[in-house]
Amino acid sequence: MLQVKNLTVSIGEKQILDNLNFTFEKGKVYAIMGPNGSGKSTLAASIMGHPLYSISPKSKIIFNDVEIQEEESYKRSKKGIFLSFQSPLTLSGVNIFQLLRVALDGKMEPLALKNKLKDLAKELKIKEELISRSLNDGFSGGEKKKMEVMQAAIMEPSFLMLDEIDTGVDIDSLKTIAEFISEMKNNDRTIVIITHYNRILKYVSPDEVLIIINGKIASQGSAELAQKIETKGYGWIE
Amino acid sequence: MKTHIHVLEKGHTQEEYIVNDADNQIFLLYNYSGKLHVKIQKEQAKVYIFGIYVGKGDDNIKIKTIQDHQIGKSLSDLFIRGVFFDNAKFLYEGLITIAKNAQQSNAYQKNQNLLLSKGAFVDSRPFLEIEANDVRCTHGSTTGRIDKEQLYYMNMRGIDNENAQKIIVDGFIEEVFIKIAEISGKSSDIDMLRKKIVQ
Amino acid sequence: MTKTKDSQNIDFDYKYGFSMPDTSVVRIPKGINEEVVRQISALKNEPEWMTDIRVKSYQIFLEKQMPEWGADLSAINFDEITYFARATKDQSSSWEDLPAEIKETYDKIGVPEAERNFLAGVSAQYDSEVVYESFSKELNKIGVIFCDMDTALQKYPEIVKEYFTTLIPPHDNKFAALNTATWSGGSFVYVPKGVHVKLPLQAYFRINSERFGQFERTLIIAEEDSQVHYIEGCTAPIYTTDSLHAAVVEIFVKPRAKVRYTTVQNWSNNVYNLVTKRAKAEDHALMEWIDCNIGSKVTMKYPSVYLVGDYARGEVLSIAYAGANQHQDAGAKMMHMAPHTSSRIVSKSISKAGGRTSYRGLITVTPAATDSQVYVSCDALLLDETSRSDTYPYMKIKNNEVEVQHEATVEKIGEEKLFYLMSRGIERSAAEGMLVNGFIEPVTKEIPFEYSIELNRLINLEMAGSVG
Repeated sequence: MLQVKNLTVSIGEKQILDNLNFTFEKGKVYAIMGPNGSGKSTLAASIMGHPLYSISPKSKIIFNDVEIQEEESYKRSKKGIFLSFQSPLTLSGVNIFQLLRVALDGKMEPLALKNKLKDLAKELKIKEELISRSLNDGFSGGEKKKMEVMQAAIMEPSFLMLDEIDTGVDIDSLKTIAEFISEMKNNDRTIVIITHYNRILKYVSPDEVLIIINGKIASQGSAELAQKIETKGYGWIE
Repeated sequence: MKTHIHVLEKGHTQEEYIVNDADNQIFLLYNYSGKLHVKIQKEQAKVYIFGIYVGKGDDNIKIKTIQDHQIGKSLSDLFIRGVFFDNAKFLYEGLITIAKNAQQSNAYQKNQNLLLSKGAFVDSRPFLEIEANDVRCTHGSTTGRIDKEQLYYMNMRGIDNENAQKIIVDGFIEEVFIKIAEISGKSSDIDMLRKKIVQ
Repeated sequence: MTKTKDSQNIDFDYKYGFSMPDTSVVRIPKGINEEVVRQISALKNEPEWMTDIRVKSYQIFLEKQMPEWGADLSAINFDEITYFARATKDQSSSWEDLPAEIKETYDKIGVPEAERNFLAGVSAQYDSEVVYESFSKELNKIGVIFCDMDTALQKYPEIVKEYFTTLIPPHDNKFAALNTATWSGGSFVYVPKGVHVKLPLQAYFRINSERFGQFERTLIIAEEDSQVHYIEGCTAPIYTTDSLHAAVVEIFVKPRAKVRYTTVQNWSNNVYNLVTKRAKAEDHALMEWIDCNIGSKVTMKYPSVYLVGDYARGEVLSIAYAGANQHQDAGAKMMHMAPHTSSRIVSKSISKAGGRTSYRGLITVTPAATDSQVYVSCDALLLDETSRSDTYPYMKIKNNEVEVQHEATVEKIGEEKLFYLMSRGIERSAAEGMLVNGFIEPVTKEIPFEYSIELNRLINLEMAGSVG
């Protein structure tokens, strides 16, 4: 589904990812773990095309057999890539309904969209009025993450990345979000969960776990690898 | 990184300062009437302007500050607090100007005044002239009386209004010193000034 | 309807020697002098007291200096301006004469055909005349007067005389003096005690032949406990060869009354738009100015409220957009002259492509204004390297038992926010449009729906760079 080749990413002068090579397969769930600053979020951001990150000339990002490393992020989104942000921003004067109307570009009738949002709000156990408030303005940590997940549910991406969807979220909300994500699993979709903790992986079991340390893939394994990290930390790797 | 401290009091004569290094520049104004024009000409320069004004009797204080960003990636941060009694008059004009090529500059300005008598008068003019777009610039000015809630709280702890006011005003001014200390660290110049101001 | 208008046009005095052309257009040659002022008054058949006011104001206009602050007005040539023109339905302009950008904008914003013709000056009549007629019948039933100023002077001279120039005297500034000397058209609104006018009164409902007059004079009187909302202007660009618009608006809000005055201005980019707007708010009265300035080459406009009664409240919510070669110099003035008064100013400005927006405000709190509160918030967005934003707030506080708060922010659209929207599949200029519309939302949500939709679309077009 999505392949990164020789992916080297820097912010300004500082190099963060070092010659990463990996293939994400359709229908699978991946967990990406690693210490702070190791490059997990950078990987997600560069797949999405964040303008602040520069990729080296040799780097390639291939999505469904097409190279996308030169493409602007909105085009990548339209192709089916979605990134749920680690720290979702506040958008003054713009609510989720307005945002999605433009993002969907006519693919859904406004009334249908509104109703779907209401249903999702119920499922995610958030107040319906959040749909009409300025996005994330005064929202709690859990509410912000739920807003991200709602957008994913509506945009139905084939490559879904969730950057620390479990950070800043209380236990009950985590369970709700995790179950929601679990329901998004299907044979045509790839889900990538970036996290520090094993908790969420108990609800959404990963097919493969990647550990990124110092910008490189330090270890790969099954769900058991995540449990090992939980008990032993990262120090034992290498 | 070095920190330079300039204290401007009544009678101070130098009005223009050119900043052409990337150290911390701290300007401390105490009842200084006149002009302070800080021309920032070096990237990574950091200019902090703190001011404490206590007006009494028929004091007539006029101060004009100019945070002049002539080059990008510079920072200026102004924080002036004033307390005015009797028939004191305070005229403050604070201009932040950012030139076209001074991109990625950040400029802040805050002026907060307490008016403690019927005859006191404040004329506040925080101006902005911004010609570069990749900047962050905010200013704010608040003028008013002491918060009644604070007074009531003190009353309920057995403190009468006169003493409560003194405590609040002292605290109001002390906060400026706390902010200064965050930037400057220990300094004998500042300690001396502090002793002088705390009547 | 047409018949009534024609007979009005024939009604003028020959003795001043102006010929009456067959095309029934009355036009006074360019330039201004006392003769011209008297001629205007005579053509309108005004009572002598009004002629006197005009003549005296003209003298004041001559004496007054141009303002030394504000935008650059040096290109205004008073001798090149036509101070009075009245056209009937045989318009000389045609759809073809209209600049291409204007036609395209009408298309893109979705202005209906009939409206387009009206706005373009192709037809002096707009089918809403029929709407106007029935609407005004409803208003008459509840005692509300809504007509143009010329008619008001003829039919209700006593009311006009009581209020005219009492809030904005000709001495106020040079352009107020000019307007008082040469005014023509504008609206007159009178709402009797206790009456709440439910539907907003729209300026273009009151049809008169000076469609969008250069020197409009508006007078609104809201008696005790009344309520009214008046709207003028529109988002579609108005094309005019007149280069100077100097309007004056005086509003009287009596105790416990509420008036909201909404302006959406989008004059073409050759116009100098210099307006003096003031309201007087008495005990427990509320005055709200909603001011959107999108067009014109230069706008200088500072809606103000004199808070003269206890517990009076004033609000100004404004948006200014300046694109290439535009300077919006706008703001607000609040005079607190009584206890327990409060004011709130929210100003949002956007500069793009070298445009310049300046916020200019004056808050005066007099010794009598005990226990008053003021809140001012001005935010500016600079969209690119060539644009400019200024903020010049003046606060004169002479009473200590008050709370005055002012804050301002200048910045650009955050890259993070743009990325966020783009990561949702929204392309860059649409994302910019969304963020800019979100930025002005606190003001646009107070504007009637139809306008705010058009306004939002206009902003999106400006972001996409497809308009002027």
